[in-house]
Amino acid sequence: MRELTFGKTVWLDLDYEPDTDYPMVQANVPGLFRLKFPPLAGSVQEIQELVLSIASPFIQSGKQITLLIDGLDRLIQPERFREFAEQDLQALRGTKISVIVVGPLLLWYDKSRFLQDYFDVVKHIPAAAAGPQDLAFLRRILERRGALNLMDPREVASIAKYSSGVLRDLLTLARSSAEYAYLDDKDRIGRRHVNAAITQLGNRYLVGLGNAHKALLRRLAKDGAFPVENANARELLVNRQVLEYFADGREFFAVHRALANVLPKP
Amino acid sequence: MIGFSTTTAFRLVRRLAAAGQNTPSLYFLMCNISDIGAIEEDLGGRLPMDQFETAVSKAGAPTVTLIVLDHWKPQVLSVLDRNIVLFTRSGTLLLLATPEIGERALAAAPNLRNRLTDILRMEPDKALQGLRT
Repeated sequence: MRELTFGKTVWLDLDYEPDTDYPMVQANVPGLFRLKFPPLAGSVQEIQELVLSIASPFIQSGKQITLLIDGLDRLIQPERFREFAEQDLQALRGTKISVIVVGPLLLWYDKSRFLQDYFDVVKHIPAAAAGPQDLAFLRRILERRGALNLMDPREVASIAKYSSGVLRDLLTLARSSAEYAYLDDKDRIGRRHVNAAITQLGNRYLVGLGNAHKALLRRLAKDGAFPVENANARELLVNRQVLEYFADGREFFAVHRALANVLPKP
Repeated sequence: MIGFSTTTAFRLVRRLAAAGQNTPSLYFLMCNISDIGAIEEDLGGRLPMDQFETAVSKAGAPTVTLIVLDHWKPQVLSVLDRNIVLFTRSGTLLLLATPEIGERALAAAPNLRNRLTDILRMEPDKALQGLRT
């Protein structure tokens, strides 16, 4: 039972060869039992002790320490995040130091229990809009920033629509439209400036896509099918060429509107 | 070829000036291989690919750094992709490449791509033609 659980090492006697020093070959048979959390590496333990020596006075005086870790959401290799969680984050477990991590989107679609095992709370943060049609909130953001002083409501609506609900793209489109108007020597942002900004953003998403990616995008645009387990599909999600939305308790995918606008026909 | 907005060194400098020196920005510039030298000169010289890591990590006044990706070097892309926040912290980073290397680079570096301010197609500045060495 012990061997079955933890595994065993056996020595196999291969055919004797006179010139070989080691006629026996070692074979490791892995056990069925696996540690839920792998042991910490020595270097991580050293840093853990250092962090605890710095944090202890604050914790003992009742202070709450929270670490915010951003920028890991677009990792295209989620196994790197696993290593980080299994070692660095695991080292902070039980230390009364809270950690909020922006993790890779791909792990949200992972079928294993990895996120549940390593984190107390896992929350998915989708695009700012609940769906591609939900534009009022995005329009209000631009209007509160004074957009109507520079463009008409029709242009504001167009920028909101083609941002696809991504806040960064909303601001990029607004700024880029203003730059086109500036280069055109105009005081107000017009239809052609917004259109140029939308095309430019679409081209940014289009660059680097192969035929397999484009086929997936066309299929999604046509019949809504998106195989999230496919490696190319995951790349499209990581790079925001495809966006995930939640509406009425239902999750669905859509091609970024600016990209759909420039996607070449087959 | 994808039709990105076309600009020149002079127009790009105007754009950077409008954004302000303290605005961290990251531009991917694409041009024909035969134009790389002229554009590099128009922009005021590049930083060698093997030296950028030390140079951009120096603290100090906001800077504009030009890196020319004139050959495919995955290690450089990997370092840029992992440390892109650090690289843009000290100012503006301009990456200049041919469309072929540019497309390859953007596909291989999702973090860098995600933080791009813009992708532009560069042309040598005709007004500066007589001033080049």
